[in-house]
Order: sequence, then C-alpha cells, then structure tokens
Amino acid sequence: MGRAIVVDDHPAFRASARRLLELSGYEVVGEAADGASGLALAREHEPELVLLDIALPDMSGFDVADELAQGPSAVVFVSSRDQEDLGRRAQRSGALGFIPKDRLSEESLLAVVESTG
Amino acid sequence: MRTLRVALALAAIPFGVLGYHILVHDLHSSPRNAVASIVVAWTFVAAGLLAWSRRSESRVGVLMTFVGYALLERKLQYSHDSLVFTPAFAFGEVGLGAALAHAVLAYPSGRLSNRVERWFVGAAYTAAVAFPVAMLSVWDYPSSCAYDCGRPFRQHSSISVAPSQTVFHTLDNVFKIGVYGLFAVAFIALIAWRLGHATPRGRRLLAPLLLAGVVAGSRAVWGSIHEIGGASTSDSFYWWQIAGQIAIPLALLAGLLSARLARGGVADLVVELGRTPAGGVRDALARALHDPTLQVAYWLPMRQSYVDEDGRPVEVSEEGRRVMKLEDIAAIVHDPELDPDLVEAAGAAARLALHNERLQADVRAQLGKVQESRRRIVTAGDEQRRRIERDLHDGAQQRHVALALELRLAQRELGAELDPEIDRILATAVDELQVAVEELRELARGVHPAVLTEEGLAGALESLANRTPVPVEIVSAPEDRLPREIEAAAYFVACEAIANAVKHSRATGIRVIAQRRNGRFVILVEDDGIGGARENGGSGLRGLVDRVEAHGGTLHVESEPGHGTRVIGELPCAQ
Repeated sequence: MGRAIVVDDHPAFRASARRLLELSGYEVVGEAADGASGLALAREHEPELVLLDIALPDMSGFDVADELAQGPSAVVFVSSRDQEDLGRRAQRSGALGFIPKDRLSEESLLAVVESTG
Repeated sequence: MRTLRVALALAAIPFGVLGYHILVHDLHSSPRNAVASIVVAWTFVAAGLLAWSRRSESRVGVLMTFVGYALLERKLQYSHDSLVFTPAFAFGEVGLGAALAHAVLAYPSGRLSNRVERWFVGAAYTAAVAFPVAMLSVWDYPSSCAYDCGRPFRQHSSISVAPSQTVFHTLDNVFKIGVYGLFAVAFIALIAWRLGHATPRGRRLLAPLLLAGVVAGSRAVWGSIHEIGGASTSDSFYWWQIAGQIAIPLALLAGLLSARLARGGVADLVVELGRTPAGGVRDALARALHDPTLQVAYWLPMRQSYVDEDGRPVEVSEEGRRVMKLEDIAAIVHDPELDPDLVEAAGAAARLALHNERLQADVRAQLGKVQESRRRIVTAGDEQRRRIERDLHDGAQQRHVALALELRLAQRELGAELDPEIDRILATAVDELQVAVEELRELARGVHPAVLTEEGLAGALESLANRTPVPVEIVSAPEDRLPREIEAAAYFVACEAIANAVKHSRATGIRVIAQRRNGRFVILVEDDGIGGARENGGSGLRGLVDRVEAHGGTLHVESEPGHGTRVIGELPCAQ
C-alpha cells in the first residue's frame, strides 16, 4: 500500500492507528504528536498517506492539510468528533476524506482511500 | 457699606456742582460742555455704585465709582486758586489715565487676570501721578500754563521748587504725546489680546465694555496726534470724548442688566425644574445660564467618583472650564466667563433636583454594574462550557474511541483463534462504546458545539440544521465571525427555538434568518407549527431571555395559535 505517518496528540491512539495501518498493509515510517512535527515528518518521508487528527495542540489539522496539499501525500482526517461537529472546512480541504475515530477500521480506511481511486 | 455708597452718591451731587462752577467761571467753558462733562462723571459714579451694590465681590463697581470721583476731582484743576489747583492737577490724570484702564481690564471679575495687565495698570497709575507732580515741581510762573493759556490769568503751583519753563514743556510734551499715546496703544493691544483669548461667551460678555474701552483708547491716541500737530481740539472732538467716556459706564450698565436677566433665568429655572422630567436637569441649567456647553457630574460617595446622568464614570476637569461643586451632590462644569454667583444661585435653586438626579445616576451606575456583572457571568459560563466540551473531547471521548479501536484491532488480530463467545462479547463492547461515544458527542454539542468555536455561527447553524429531523432552511447567516458572546447567544436561541419547534409545535418546516441590521444582530427562527407558545412557558426560553438580555439584547416570541411561532432575538453588534 505504501508508507504512512500518524499525526495525533494521543499516544494510545497513535499506537492503535499504527497497528491498524500495518494490518492494512502500510509501512508506518513515523508518528508525530503535533502539527509542526507532522509537517516536518511528511516533508522528510513524503509518505503516500498521512492519518491526521484535526484537533492538534499547536495548530489545526486543517492548516496542516493545507500545507500538505501541494505535496505527494494523501491526507485522511480522523477525529473523536463527528463530521457534523467539524463544519464545512472538512469538506473544503483537499483531504481524501474523514473518518470518526470510533469508526476507524481497515474497511473504513480502505473505503476512503479507494473512494478517490 | 450701603451707608458709604449712599454717602458717596449724595456727595457726588455737590461735588459735581462745584466742578460745573469751576468749569464755567474759571475755565470759561460753555455751560453745555460743562454739563456734559459733569454728567460723564456722575454716570460713572452712578453706574459704579450700582455695580458695587449688585456685585459686591467684584471690584469693578468700586473702580468705576473711583473713576467718577477722579473725573469730578479733575474739574478742580481748572480753579484759579493755587491751593485747589495744585493737588487737583497732581491727581487730575488718575481717573482717565489709570483708573479707567484698570476698571476696563478688570471687568467683569474686578481682578486683573495676568502679570502684564498688573504691570500695565501699575505703570499707568505711576505715570498719571509722577508726570503732573514733576511738572508742578518745575512750574515757572507766569510762563507755565496748563489750560486756557490764551488768557492773562495763570495758575500757581504750590510745590514749585525748581522753576524751569524748558523742563516744564519737555515734561508736558513727553507726557501728553509720548507716554499717553504709548499707554493708549498698549491698552488697546491688551484688550485685543483678551478678546482673542476669551471663550465665545466671554467675548459676548466683554464686547460692550471693551468696545467702550477701545473708543476711549483711540481718543487718547487721537489726542496725542493732535498735540504733535499742535492743533487745538475741535468741538466735534470734544463730543467724541464725551461719547466715548459715557459709553463705558453705559456698557457696564448693559452688563449689569444682562446679569439681572440671567438671574431672572434662575427664577425661571425654579419653575421649570418643577416640570422637568428625569434626566433633564442639565438641560434646564444650561438654558437658565445660557451655556450650552454646561455639564453636570454627579458625586457617588460610595465610589468616591463622579458619574454622568446615565451613571457612566466621568472626569471633572477644570482645564479651560470652571467647576462649581455642590457638596456631596454634583459638580457643575461651565464656561469660565459665567458669573460664579449666578452659577451658585442656579446650583442652589436646582439643589433638590440635582440631588434626585444624583440618586437616579447612582441607581443607573449600580444597574450598569449589575448588567456588566451579568454579562461577565454569561461570558464566563460560555467559556466554562467551551472548556467542558474541550475536556470531554480530550478526555472521555478520546479514551472511549481509543478503547473501541483497540477492541476492534484485537478482534481483527485474533481472527479465527477467537472464541465465538468472546468475539460476540467484544463486538457488543465495541457497539456499546460507539453508543457511549455518540452520547458523549451529543452531550458535548449541547454544552458548547465545537463547530461554533471553530467555524462560527454559519457553520454551527448548518450543522444544527443537518441534525434536526424537521427540514430547516438557513435563509441567511453571517459568513464572517462575530464576537464570541453574540455567536453563542444567537446559536443557543436558534437551538432552543428549533428544539421547541420539533418537540411541541408539530412543525413541518423551519426557517432561520441570522443577519446584521442597523448595528444589531438579529436571529429569527420561525416554524409553521401549531403556535401557542409562550415566552415564559419554559425554563429553556426564560434562560435564553436572560442570556440575550445579559448582552444588552432582547428576545420575544410571537406565537398565535394556528399561525406558527416566531422567536426573535436582537443583540447589539457593531459593524
């Protein structure tokens, strides 16, 4: 499937997400706990997938996605909030899609990744 | 003092008659000119005594009386008797040469306002006495002559110690041409400076007297020019002098009359205050004192500060203004040219009304504080709600979703090895966790929706519409961000109104309009339900009324049975 990184400020979620991505066939090349580290990691590795939390301690996940929009990485947003709680910005961003964390699974991830071909 | 004034008034009559006698018999002046000259002096005395009586705190009255007497005394210098002539000549210039300038420059307070004026007046008094005394000391009889020099009779100086016609002439010319002319020009310049630096009201007040002063000053300049040219004074010049001199006490009388009219305004004020509505005392005072710039500041002893009539804090500054304080009640800040007595009288007349107004201002100030505190409580409540939502998101929600994901991974990783019963238990646990997460999300949205914080009112209303089981049309919503408290208040109004429409009104459609109108933000929610809702019908709406009013807004409900319900909230919101 390619390389991936996880950007989320909760260590437990990062660990679970890493396992899920690996089960899905991704090579997880790095994890970051905030937006700035995530951007640095993405620029360094240029992964195929960035699993990106929206509520980060230093900046919004939307802003991180905007920065990554020009690069080769595809972004999938995750959040413990629902799509309804995020408003229109999630739709306006250049991300592949959004998955609520409680619904994150191999199937939901695959569905989002494959939805754009 | 009254006796003294009466005595001075009575004494001026024989003094004037004596002056007339000397003018006609010794100076050989025409009776007409002599009468005019005495009338000028009497006018000064009369106006001065009247001013002294009405405005005892001002020295102008005393000065004017002094000028009048000095003018009467001046007539004695035309006497042929050297014992009368000598002192009269020595002090003959004090009236017109110094005291008149003193009175004009000191008008209306009676005090000279700066050092330049004090120097000028001091120098004028000195010159007005020093030169005549010096001339008397070198008086060279029979060559020296001051008046009526064509006639054979010449006056004697009783204090001539070094007679010298040359020195006498030199002193005479320097005094009448140089000193007199110089002082006249300086006097006019001082008047012009005073007019230039006066407030508009001050100019109106000073104008009549200063005009008269200028007339007198220009007369002196004209006189100096005549002396230089050696021409004798003409009849028309004499009458110009008389007119100029008489204009000064008349101008003073006009000033007095104006003060009396203003005092009449104070009497009217007492009547007007009886029917002045609350908050109108300042306007009534401004009208009575003819000072539209007048301000009233009310003293709040508990705060030890002044507030305006609406209870807002104000600074009482004396910069360019004058302040009259009514102890423990108020301060009247007014044009410095206003008569302080008059302001005090108006303040005394309005004391009770000002006291009532102060109490109202105090109540308004307290209401303002309560309103401010109410606003702070609501704002703090909103902030607390935001924090709780954030805590739910960062804490319980995160742990639940992480646990759900972990269980799902365990299911996936163990796969076929997993006991079917355990697999079922794990699946149930994941489902339960998802329900719990959903409930937590709903709770967090109710506390304070994250979309409102992140996206503002438009995004939050859209999200609310998407979650509502009845179709909701967002007709208009602001694309830009509003102040947080306005967004929160408007959102919760919409939220409660939509929830009520869904629960109670059997509505099939809801419309939301959220927009700025004339400096206010309006949130309107209307449904096509059964109507009949009441503003105080439930704690939800009551709470919303409190929330909206805390921000200085209003909320009302229109809900005729059978005609749907309209909930309209309006909040102050600058563009």
